[in-house]
Amino acid sequence: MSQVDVVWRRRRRRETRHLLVSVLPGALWIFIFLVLPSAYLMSVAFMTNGGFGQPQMPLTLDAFRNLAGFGFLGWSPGNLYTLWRSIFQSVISLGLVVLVAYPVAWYISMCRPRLRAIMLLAVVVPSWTNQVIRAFGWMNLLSPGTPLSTLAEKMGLIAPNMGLFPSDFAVTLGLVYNFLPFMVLPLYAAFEKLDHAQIEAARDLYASPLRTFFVAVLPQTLPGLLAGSVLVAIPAFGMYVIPELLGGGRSQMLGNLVASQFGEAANWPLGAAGALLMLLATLLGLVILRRMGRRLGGGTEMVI
Amino acid sequence: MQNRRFKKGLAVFWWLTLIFLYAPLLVVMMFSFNSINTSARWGGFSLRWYERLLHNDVVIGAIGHTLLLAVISSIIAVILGAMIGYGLYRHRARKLGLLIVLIYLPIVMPDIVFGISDMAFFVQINRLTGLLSPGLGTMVIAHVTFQIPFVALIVYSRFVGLDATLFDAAKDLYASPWQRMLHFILPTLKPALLSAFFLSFTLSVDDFVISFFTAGPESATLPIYIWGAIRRGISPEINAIATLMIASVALVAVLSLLFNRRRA
Amino acid sequence: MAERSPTAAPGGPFSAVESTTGSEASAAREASSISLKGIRKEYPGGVVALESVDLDIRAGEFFTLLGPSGCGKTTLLRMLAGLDEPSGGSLSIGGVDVTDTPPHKRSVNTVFQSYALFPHLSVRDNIAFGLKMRGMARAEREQKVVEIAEFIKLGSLVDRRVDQLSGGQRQRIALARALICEPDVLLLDEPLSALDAGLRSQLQVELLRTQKRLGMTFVFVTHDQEEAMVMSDRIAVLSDGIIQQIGTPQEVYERPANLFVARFMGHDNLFSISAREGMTVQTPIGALETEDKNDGRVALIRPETLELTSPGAPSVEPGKRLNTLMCRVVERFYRGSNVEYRLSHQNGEQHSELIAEISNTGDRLFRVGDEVKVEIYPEDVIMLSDDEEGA
Repeated sequence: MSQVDVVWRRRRRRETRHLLVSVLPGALWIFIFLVLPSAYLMSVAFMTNGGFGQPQMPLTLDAFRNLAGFGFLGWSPGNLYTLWRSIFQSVISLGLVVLVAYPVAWYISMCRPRLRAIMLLAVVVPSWTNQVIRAFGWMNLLSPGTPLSTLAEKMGLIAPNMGLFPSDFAVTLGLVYNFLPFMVLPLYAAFEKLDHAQIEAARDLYASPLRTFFVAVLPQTLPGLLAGSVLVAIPAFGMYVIPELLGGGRSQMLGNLVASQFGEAANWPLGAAGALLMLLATLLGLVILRRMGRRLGGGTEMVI
Repeated sequence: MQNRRFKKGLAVFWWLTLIFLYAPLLVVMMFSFNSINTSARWGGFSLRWYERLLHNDVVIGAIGHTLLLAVISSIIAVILGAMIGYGLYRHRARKLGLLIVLIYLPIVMPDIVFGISDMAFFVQINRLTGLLSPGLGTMVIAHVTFQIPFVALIVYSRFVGLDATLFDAAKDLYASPWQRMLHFILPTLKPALLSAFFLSFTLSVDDFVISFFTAGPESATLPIYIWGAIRRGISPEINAIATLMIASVALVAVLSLLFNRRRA
Repeated sequence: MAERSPTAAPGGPFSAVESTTGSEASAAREASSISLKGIRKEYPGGVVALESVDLDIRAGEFFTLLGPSGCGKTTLLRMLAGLDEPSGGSLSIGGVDVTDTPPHKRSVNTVFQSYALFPHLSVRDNIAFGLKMRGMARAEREQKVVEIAEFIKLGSLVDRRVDQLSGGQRQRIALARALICEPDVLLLDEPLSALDAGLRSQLQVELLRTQKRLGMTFVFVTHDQEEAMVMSDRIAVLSDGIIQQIGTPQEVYERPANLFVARFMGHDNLFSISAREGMTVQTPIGALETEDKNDGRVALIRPETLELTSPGAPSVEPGKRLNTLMCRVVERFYRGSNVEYRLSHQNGEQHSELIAEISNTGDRLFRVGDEVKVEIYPEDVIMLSDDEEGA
């Protein structure tokens, strides 16, 4: 080994020590209080339920069988309904979020630059308030006797005195409300980079506004749309607060199923299995985001 | 012409969306001043729900817990996160992939999984050692965990925006390592640290799910109190608490924004 | 060395007025010499940035490291500051070995290319930063700032915020911040390269006057050969981590050590030598007499040494044997104080181009298309080694 290598090695060791001193306390904190706990939770998913909700040995796949609906009393579709509702709700609310966010982002990108920052802020500000309070706001608006519920009653959309809340509809509305900013921001980033020459060219060649949209506008904003979709659908899939508050007992989603297993239902392994499913969905979302990361160019970083 | 009509249509849609976004918050704020006990009808202006709050010891306690939790966790997170941000910057030439995954983990983890993992973990540790019984302590631990990444990212991006020769200049002008920390790095970082503190504070006050699962019987924060109160039934008193929270979070967020702007 | 020693007033080198009480301040400071022995910089994997540099910089000298980007000049400067560690060799300043001394313990200050003014501090605090780090009391610091502001004529700049300063103003603040520490050596890393031409030459003069008044050792890094010539007492030309030549501006310009230095100093009229016999060399423009005894592969004839006359005119120095060529004017560039001619020369099949720079003394100018007689003194035909290691 040459003299140069010795010097460099010594220097590198010194720098490694510096790196560890600065990074280790925080990194250890995250490791001990998040990585270890979630690893523990994942291991619980493979244990046996001990009656009082305490996981026990031996290792089994019972929890997953439970999640699929197999219990003491044979198969029941309850859990699968919940899973299905989670998927259904996140897909429906994603679709609605896109319908609202797309024109909004487009409009913001058309305004003067100085105005755009304020408009984006206006979209984000409501999400700074607590989730519980936001859901509570909707409870106020949708409960029986309020103008909205009365209107829906008169139009024959709901039974008398039922109100719009609690219901699956209220959950969907809550999800759309909650996740709208997550779609507007990446979409706006895509619209900001829109190449208007392409739109002009398309308009010259095709004339129909609808065709212009599908040929020139939509493909250019697709990366933002996809990024936003991941940012909306994945967290919506694991949502807990909104179905708990705005939905009744029959509007439960996966998050509620998981939470109840650690509370009144007392089946930790089953809850852990549900949590594992959520983590897998998150992982899938991250992989998709990463794949698109290069094409996106930082659109996702704006979302906090 | 078609184009202008299209834009006009979008503008209408934009205002409708704004109504959609702010209606729930405005309703909460409005009915906190309602004189009658319903959110279906307006019965006149009154401050009775705020008065009632003042005499509610549980609420006062919850406010205290919320602030205490936010302040303590933010201070710890700013220290640990700033150290990470500095380390990441100083050694940005290195391959730190695993570390970065670790730092992003609290951001991407679904909060229900986050909260339940911590709860299950703390329960087990408590059973084995008697430590970490659920309460303000466990909540601080959990909050710091999700605040660290945001602080680290703010501090890191502040460093990246800095002329790297400033570090050389400080050395060149006789500053010892400690003097560099005291007279160069910390003062330069001050706006970023303040803004990181405000963001951490906001995140802490905003959080419900993780707090809910790591809280103990004596350490309910405002969001947890509101949650419980809602489940017992809607009451205008909740409107009043919620209004106070909306106002304070908005205030802190605006402050943080101002600090950020002055920096830039 | 002695005649360069600063003659500082008793109140310190920057005090404008003769102080009668300033006994606590430094007496006249001796400027420091610098000595580099076998300084090397090597990165893992065998990448060599500096290859065994030996260099002696005299006390009170304005010394310039000149070279293209990536030649190692900035690495060398950073080593003097202590910001980079050498992989081998030793470095002493003022006779004291400082090879392993960290930057904050070296009495060396740097003016950085980006100026590196601290954004969180006022201009005043920026200037006083070094003194504060050294533990000087506030009152004394403020007195020093007043003195230096007077010395470099900062005027009201000290009361501005850093972000209100222009490039030239920043440069002067950076200079003040470095000088106020009264270092043994001042290092300047391309401090003028970010400025526009007019301001640049003004600051060149200011910088040079400052150095002469203080008698401080300045080490200056630049890639601009004209700047180097204007300012330096001596220049070291670097390329690929090797010093190609060290000398006064005159030596480096008039007697470049090799082809690289000649090219870098901006010389044209380089002709490869195919054969040599005694003091006669064969080149594409024909056989040339030279007085250069050195062996070389390339002949350099500086454009301003060419003598141009009309074809029939007598020799410019009839008694002497000059090299004579017949050329045709291809282009003419009138520059006021001088005139540049581009000449073409035909030597059998061989076609060559020459450049002549004639100072404008009011004589008749040649026109494009004119045939001219070119005469070259043998002592102006300079031999250059082709390879760049012939320093």
